[in-house]
Amino acid sequence: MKVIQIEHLQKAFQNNIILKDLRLSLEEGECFGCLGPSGAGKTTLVRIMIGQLDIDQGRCLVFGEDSRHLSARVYEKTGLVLDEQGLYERMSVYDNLKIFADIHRIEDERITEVLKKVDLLDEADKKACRLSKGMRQRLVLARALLHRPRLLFLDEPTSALDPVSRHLIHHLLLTLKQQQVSIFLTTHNMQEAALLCDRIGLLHEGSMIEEGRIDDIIEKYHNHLALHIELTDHRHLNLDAQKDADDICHYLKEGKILKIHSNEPTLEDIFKKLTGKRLNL
Amino acid sequence: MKNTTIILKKQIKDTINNKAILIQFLLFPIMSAIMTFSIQTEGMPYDYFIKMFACMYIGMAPIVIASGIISEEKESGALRMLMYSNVKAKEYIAGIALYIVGGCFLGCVCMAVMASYSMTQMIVFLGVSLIGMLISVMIGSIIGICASSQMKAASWSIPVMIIFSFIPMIASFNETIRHIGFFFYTQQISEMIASLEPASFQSVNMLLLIVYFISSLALFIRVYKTHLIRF
Ligand SMILES: Nc1ncnc2c1ncn2[C@@H]1O[C@H](COP(=O)(O)OP(=O)(O)OP(=O)(O)O)[C@@H](O)[C@H]1O
Ligand SMILES: [Mg+2]
Repeated sequence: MKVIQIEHLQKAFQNNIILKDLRLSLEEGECFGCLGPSGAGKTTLVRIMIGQLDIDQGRCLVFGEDSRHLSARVYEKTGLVLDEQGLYERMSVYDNLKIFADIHRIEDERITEVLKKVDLLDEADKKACRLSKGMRQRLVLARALLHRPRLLFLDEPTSALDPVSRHLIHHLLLTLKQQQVSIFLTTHNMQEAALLCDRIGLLHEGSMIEEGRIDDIIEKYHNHLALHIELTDHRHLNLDAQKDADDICHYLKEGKILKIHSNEPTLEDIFKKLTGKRLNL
Repeated sequence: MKNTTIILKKQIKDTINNKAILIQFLLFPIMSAIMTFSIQTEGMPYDYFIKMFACMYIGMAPIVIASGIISEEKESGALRMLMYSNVKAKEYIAGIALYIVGGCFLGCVCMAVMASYSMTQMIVFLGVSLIGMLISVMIGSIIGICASSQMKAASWSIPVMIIFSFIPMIASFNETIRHIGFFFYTQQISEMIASLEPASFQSVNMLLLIVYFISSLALFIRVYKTHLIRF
């Protein structure tokens, strides 16, 4: 079954079209990464999927239900890490989770369990307002995982975090993937996408300009004929395997070649090629 | 129902660390205790300050607290997280209202005990206060739900609460304001508390209070339906 299915989705804010004719799907246990520069519409897309924003055209189904009228059944299976964290600042880390554990009727042991997972057990009695940025984000993730969701929406979960927190979150997400939890992730960060995602989509000005497995996308834009050659005299040359075949043969015969690479593009290169803009500001 | 209790429990826990709200709950009961025990002059009724501060308490505390809590939780996104965890908007509002009315009611009980009222007087005092608090909580919630931020909520609730809570006090010195005050629920409450004798209540007081209650309830439901359901 498809966990998320979006067809011909369109969304505008006051005549300003933010998302255009979007199509997207997420299979069970899959991790989809939505990459795009600031203002591309990533957060808007997430807010539509969780039912916080209306749709102008098209449809968006989450666990088979219209995102505008999600039922309790869907909420129970969904965990959220949004850009607004919604923590109770004056309450302790533990109490922040306790409220949600009570609402979900979850035993208290589970709170300790998730605190251990996000490495916040030692801070359990600290007030939320006293936490560092990385700790706060880990607390938000702990809250999202408390009720053992089957689908996670993560809106830039690691942006501007310290490397330790980021690494911990990545590690945790990889474990969740192994447990067949479906993940929808937005990010600016290509390394993150490459590490976590099975499939990605490049969002630009509201359109999905490319979508698929990362390897496939790179393969698609990979020009196998383009070679990068470093000569023994340390000159660098970009040559075409067909057109410059004679030259290449010549260098080979003379034994002048030090290194030879195929020019594989990065996602960043592909994004730049397609839009003329950089992905990561 | 379970969720309402959870919200209530959360609020009670939060109170200890939330000085702004704690002050609202305690200010008027403490003020009236200080004034009553320190200032007693000839010909002044023993419960003069208690009655005066009770009216201000009812017209002020629930409005400030309700608008403050709701707008804060809305702005921080905490309310959204609650709703994604299947807390219904009505359960949330019920929890907040129960907390505020419960807290202020305790304050009023303390004030009534201080005034050593008879049983009937006590019932009338608390009953009238309760209706007033409910109206104030609804007004505060309307402000909290409509305001887009905590700052905005404060800038709306301050003038509203000043008008409602000070009108009855000023009305006792000025005839014109007493006429204007006729249209404010706090004035009706003040007049009913002043006598504390059900027999001497004017039906117009009761009627206006009921009208006020119903119209604030209607407005509250309208705002709730248009603004809160779709957070
Ligand atoms: N409530 C709103 N009203 C009007 N315009 C909005 C609203 N929310 C978002 N927008 C506009 O929609 C566009 C996309 O915003 P969105 O927050 O989805 O971008 P994003 O991809 O998440 O960016 P970032 O990476 O910076 O978080 C922006 O141009 C923004 O100004
Ligand atoms: Mg965003």
